[in-house]
Amino acid sequence: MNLDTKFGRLSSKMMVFLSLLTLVTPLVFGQMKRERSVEIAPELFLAASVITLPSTTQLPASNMNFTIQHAFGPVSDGLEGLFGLDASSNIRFGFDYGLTDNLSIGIGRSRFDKVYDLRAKMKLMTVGTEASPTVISVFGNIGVDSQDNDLEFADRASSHLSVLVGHALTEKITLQVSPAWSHFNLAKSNIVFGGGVEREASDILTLGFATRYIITGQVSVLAEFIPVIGTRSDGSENAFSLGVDLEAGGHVFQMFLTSTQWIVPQYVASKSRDNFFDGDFGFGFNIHRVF
Amino acid sequence: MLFAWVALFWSVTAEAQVVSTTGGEVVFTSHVPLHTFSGVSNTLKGNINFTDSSVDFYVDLASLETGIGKRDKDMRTTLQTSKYPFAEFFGKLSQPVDLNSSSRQQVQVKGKFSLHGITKDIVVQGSLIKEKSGWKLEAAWSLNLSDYNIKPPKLLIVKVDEKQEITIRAVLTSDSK
Repeated sequence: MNLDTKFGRLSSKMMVFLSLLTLVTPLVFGQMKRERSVEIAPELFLAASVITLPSTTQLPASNMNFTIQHAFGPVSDGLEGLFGLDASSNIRFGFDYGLTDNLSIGIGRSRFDKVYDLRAKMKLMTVGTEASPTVISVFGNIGVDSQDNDLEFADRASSHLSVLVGHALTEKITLQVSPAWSHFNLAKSNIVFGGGVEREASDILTLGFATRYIITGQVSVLAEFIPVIGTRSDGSENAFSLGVDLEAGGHVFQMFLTSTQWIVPQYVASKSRDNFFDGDFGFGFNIHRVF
Repeated sequence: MLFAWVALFWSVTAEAQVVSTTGGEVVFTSHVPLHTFSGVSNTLKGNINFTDSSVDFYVDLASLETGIGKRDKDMRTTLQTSKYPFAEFFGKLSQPVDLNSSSRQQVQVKGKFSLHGITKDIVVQGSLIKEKSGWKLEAAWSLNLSDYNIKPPKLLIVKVDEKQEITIRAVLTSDSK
């Protein structure tokens, strides 16, 4: 076989290859490479509060959230007291509004002590990976006791400031740590039935822990523990709550057992008097609705 | 001979008349009893190749916003956007476009539309106008969620209508990247 023949065959093969390439090229080049245009970080908690503890979840800009929080009496009341539902219960209803995607403000009112609270939450940063982010936020509120008594306005005021550090440990497990400072302008002294006086602390430090375990896309298990560090109100106990949250139709429903009937964070830190692990807990629920 | 093929290859690739966009608008409109809401994304990407009549568009479904964050999240859950991130169309213009005309031209494209892991053959009607800023595209069609194995979500107890109206608008230029 001479060189010309070899070259002729090679040339023919090349022509066939080029012909196919010419036909195929527009098809290959026609379809664009698909690229994501947004990254959606996983939500660490479904609602703006874990149970009583503020969560790192932020209300988007221009969105309004309506919340009803309800904590009943002790389950240990048994059937006669319908497991605490007949007892005096605390109720808070409130509105929050997202000024920006990273800043929300809110107002609420609780039945116990007729407390009005103004609050704000700001997301400072998100670090880590998209699959395992860490969100750092600050939360603050001012509470005002509006009971009919002779106290000056300043003596009715209380405040709370906390740093919320939430982290998606895995796709299903979220953790949050919340160091907090709670302050009451007036540290009350209460006469105890049977004698003696209990003094409430003016400044209380707590280190809140919370976790969420996702069972399905719509159902999670929640737990939170809020131990007091250092000085505490006489007779107070560390609040513990265990519950589930369910997301349905734009609502988040949270049902839980809790050792505290208090809802506003500084009151939870100062006035919770029951120990969950002694069986002293009651039923409660929160409903969050975003408009 | 070889030169001729190289010239043909070059003419097909380098001189293809392609216009594209990276910031087109997609709007879907959903109906529930006594209420209508829309979702919008401004991240529609795509191109039209007037040489081979191919049309290729896609949008990241996670970029759709309805104005309520919780509803957006529900929508992403319903559409399973982490598993099926894109709605995409790839097809052909049914008839050639007059590249020199500046009047509105009605166009029809036939091709495959993919959503939620399901691909269907569809025909979409639209229009193209050649303007100074580029080729202005508008198109609209409707789809049934069940065709794409999407269970219509419920708002409280009210079910979202299965039929969704889709509109896209974009200005396509020859220098979009």
